[in-house]
Amino acid sequence: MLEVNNLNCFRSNESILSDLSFSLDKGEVLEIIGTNGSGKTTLLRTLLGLIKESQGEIKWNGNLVTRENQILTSESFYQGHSLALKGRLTVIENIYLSAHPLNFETDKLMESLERVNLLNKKDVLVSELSVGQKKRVSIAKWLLTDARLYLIDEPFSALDDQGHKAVEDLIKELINRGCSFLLTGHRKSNEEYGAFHLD
Amino acid sequence: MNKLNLTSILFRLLQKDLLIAYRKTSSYLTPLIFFLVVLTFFPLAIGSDSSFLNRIAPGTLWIAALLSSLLAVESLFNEDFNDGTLDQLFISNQPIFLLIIVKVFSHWMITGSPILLASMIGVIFFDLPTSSIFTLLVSLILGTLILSFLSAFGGALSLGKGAILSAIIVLPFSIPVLLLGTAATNAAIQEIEYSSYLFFLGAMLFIVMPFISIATAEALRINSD
Repeated sequence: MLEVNNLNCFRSNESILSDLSFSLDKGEVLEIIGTNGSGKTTLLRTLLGLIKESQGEIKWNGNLVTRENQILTSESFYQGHSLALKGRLTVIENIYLSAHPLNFETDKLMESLERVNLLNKKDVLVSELSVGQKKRVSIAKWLLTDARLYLIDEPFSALDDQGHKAVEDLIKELINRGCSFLLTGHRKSNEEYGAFHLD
Repeated sequence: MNKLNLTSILFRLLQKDLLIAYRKTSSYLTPLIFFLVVLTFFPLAIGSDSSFLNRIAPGTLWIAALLSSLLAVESLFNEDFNDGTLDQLFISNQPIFLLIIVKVFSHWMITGSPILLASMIGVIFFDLPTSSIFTLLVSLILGTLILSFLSAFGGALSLGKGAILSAIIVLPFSIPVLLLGTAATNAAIQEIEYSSYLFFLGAMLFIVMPFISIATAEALRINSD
């Protein structure tokens, strides 16, 4: 499904990622593990074409990914370290007016909010939520896309046990639908997931 | 799950920016208050000589409009850059230059349109003839829209840096707009032919809109890397 061969990435002529190769199949979860500054976020952004200074081969379903053909971005969902949420909008408004175009029925939205335990906060301004709750708003979008690949930067950070379990359940559900996950983190979060160390 | 069509996406983007601005009063009040302060202080400082006020009115109104529009340059992309929205726009698979046109248009609605209304107060302060109102309004609509596009370009080039850098980038490019806008308003006050200036401003807008949007998209892509 996703195949990365000899990926190199530079910033100000300094190498961030060097000759990185890995693959991810349908229904798989791969965790990119590394310390702060090891290039986890850079890797996700490079795959999406957000970083120009990169070399190497990225293939999606056997087809070469280029910045122009957008075959990966059209089938993926990216949740960065910054969650792309607006503090002056409510939870519902943030999802409805998301920069990532989502199209869904209201029932589906409510179900998603229920899954992340935010239904009672749906009309609250995001600026009034805690860091963990903001993360949950972003996670609620996972069920509202038709993405095949989820690139999630540190999905478990700032979450309590309940949030952690909700994320794991969501991942399980989406894997059963044939989706794949590329996660980043400082340590392995689940023994069932594949892991790739950047350090 | 059906994909949203482009019109819905653009409409939602406009709705989002306007809603955020509505809840952040400083985004439209700051340029408006600055514009009004300049318009009020000029007649107070210069005195009530009506013919002199008439002569300096177009220049004063236009300089006030130009400086007011620069005040909000920083807010155009910096917030989206800092909160990750810009990345999401780039991977949304939509024509980025169209998204930028919508963002600039919403920015103009927030910062430019209050200036249009406030310019009517300027007409009273500077004792301008009512026959010049139409020209003043049309020139300001076209001119402030061009300034918003130029501001977007400046904001993209100085992404993550200070507003002063944006202003330094934008100011030289805004001189033709200032000259044409002032000339159109002057001509209308003197009741001579003014339409050519408005046509020039209109032509500038239609040239600036696509080219600046594409350049802005590229500048954002490079600077958000």
